[in-house]
Amino acid sequence: MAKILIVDDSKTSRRILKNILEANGHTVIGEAINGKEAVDKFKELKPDITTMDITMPVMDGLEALKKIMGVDKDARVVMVTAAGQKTKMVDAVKHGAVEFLTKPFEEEQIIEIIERVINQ
Amino acid sequence: MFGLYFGDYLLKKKKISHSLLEDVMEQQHTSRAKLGLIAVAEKLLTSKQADELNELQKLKDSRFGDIAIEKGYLKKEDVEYLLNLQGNPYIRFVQALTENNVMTMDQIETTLEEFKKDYGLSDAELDALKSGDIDRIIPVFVDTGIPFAGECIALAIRNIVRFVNNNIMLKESYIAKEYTFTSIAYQQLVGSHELFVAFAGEDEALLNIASPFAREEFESMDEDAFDSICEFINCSNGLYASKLSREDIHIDMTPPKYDQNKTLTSDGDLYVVPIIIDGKQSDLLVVVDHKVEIN
Repeated sequence: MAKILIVDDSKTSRRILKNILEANGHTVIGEAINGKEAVDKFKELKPDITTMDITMPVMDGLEALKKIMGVDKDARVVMVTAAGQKTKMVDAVKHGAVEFLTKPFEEEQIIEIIERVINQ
Repeated sequence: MFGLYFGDYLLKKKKISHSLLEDVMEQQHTSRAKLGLIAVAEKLLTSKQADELNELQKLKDSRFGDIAIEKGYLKKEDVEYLLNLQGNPYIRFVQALTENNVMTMDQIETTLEEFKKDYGLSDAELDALKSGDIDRIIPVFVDTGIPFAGECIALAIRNIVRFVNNNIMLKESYIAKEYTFTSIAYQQLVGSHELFVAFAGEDEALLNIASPFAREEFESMDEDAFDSICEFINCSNGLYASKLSREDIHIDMTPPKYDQNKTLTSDGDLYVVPIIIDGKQSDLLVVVDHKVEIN
């Protein structure tokens, strides 16, 4: 079971993801609503896994990913994307993202990916 | 879904009361359709033959289908076909109507013909409604051939069925130049093409999208309820953008927004698709490659 930080500007998405993760035994140790807050909370909470939305105000998910990888090169960041953001997915992989979750969320997909990241 | 369309028609024609329709709608989800009724609905048996077989079934310890074959009214393959239809939404609704003594099977057939005529439906379109298959129903109400808008609308409706409510009713779509709303959640997509996609309507109607999508009961269209609809639009458009990218058409999604009590104008065609969810109408709005202003 993993300690997870959820980063998403949509409260709806944060809540749906949190409910799914907690129902499957994981602990959501924090939430952030933009990339800047995500970097601060990553440093403070040291999560096992960070789920990171790509499109966010203030600082987007790609920028936050780069900063987090700068803080901890072994950080496990799972990018969360609306299905259409293919180019941004490629960029995220280049900068160290370990996996992708696509919206709309489907419980089975989330759990499978989180388990895979835990076992990496 | 058929029950929503035909039930609404029966209400308008004063052939059923609101409370009785509610009972019928409830019952159609719980009862299993009887083979005799399906056979009559499918015109494989007359009502008289079905009644005769029902009477015989009371005297014999045999299944309806077996007796019908024995009497030479149906073939084995007919029975198999009818058994496959037992979960069909049209059949279940029709059975609920007859069991509640709203109409006989013959009266249903006559009313169905009037319904078809009044709504200008072809046989294929009526069959689409009877099937309950959203992919077949969408083209009855939306011109899915309109470049970009057609596909975008069809996908958004399918996502409503998939993530919000699987029992919706569509109304005929239309084109407007302006639209005055109580509440709206929208997103603009930019790139090779520009799309504006929105859900608008009265707050009560939009809550029927916001609450099920967020899996949370909202009391009013507050910030959280708007966030839910914005996120739904974002997800739906993401799937559309993904489809377009496979055709080498690239569009980016801007952050969704919301607004209240204003008028939207477009210098191009504004496609409006009314969607009834739990009795309340929300409108799906789409504009392609034209400017949209909200004032």
